[in-house]
Amino acid sequence: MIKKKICMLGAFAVGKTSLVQRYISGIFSEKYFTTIGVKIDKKSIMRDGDEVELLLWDIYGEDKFQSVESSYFRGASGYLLVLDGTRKDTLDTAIMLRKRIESTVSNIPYIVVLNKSDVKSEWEFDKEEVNQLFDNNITLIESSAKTGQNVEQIFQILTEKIMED
Amino acid sequence: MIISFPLTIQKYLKSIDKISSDAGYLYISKNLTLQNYGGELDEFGMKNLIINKNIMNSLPILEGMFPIKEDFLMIPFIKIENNKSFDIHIINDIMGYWIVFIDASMDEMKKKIFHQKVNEDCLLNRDKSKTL
Repeated sequence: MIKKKICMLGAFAVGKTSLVQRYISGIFSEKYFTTIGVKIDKKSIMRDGDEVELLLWDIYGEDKFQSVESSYFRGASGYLLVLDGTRKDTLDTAIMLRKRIESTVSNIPYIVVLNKSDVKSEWEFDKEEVNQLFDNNITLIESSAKTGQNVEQIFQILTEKIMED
Repeated sequence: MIISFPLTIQKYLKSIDKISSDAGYLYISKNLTLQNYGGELDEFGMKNLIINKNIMNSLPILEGMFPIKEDFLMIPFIKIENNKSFDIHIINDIMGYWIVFIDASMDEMKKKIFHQKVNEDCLLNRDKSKTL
């Protein structure tokens, strides 16, 4: 079986764990629980008749007291860079994290996930702004762990990118 | 428990002052075949380990980690699904790798209390300043 390690990256409370929980178990909780270190979950999907096992490394969010250690990126095949549309500072954190992961594991596929689309009226920035701040043609997808919008798709599209890489 | 561990692991646990922690270990060859294992691996979510089989079949969390050029590698606070949190210590040996798993659940709990509070306060202050 093909196995691929995917890292979830982003600032604290952007919804990384919620996206994984929605994807793995189909559940969502409004309560925020911080992640310490990394929690690893698995999910198998089919691609062109082959089973691919995704190892989802849900890594703690960067906050003012801790930066994300690059040892967690080792062996990653791809990553989801998660932003919270309601907090503009999460965009700066994402840009910093992308630089850090690129210096550790160069040029692996990734998707920028603009999460919390269920509260779009509260967003402090939009897709256009994200596109301007990232210096290449990124894949940017809006999502909501709460409603489930695009959750399956972000993992599916990332897997496709990884397999084509 | 530690008394039943290979001497290399006993010495290592002593050197990092973790002799009384719950721990488990694996020894894998350079081609990633499991040679030996022991300790409290069940509690960390590691089951169905088979000697002489490729470790990636039974422990996919190690996917992509090897080969290791460094003499030593440590990755803290790893949790497999809902099992106990552990630190991974990998010691690069001439013939293979010693992989030591050390219980980190107490430290994880302390860190969790701290970061939960700090991050919740940060979000709360942000909401307050937004409404003003």
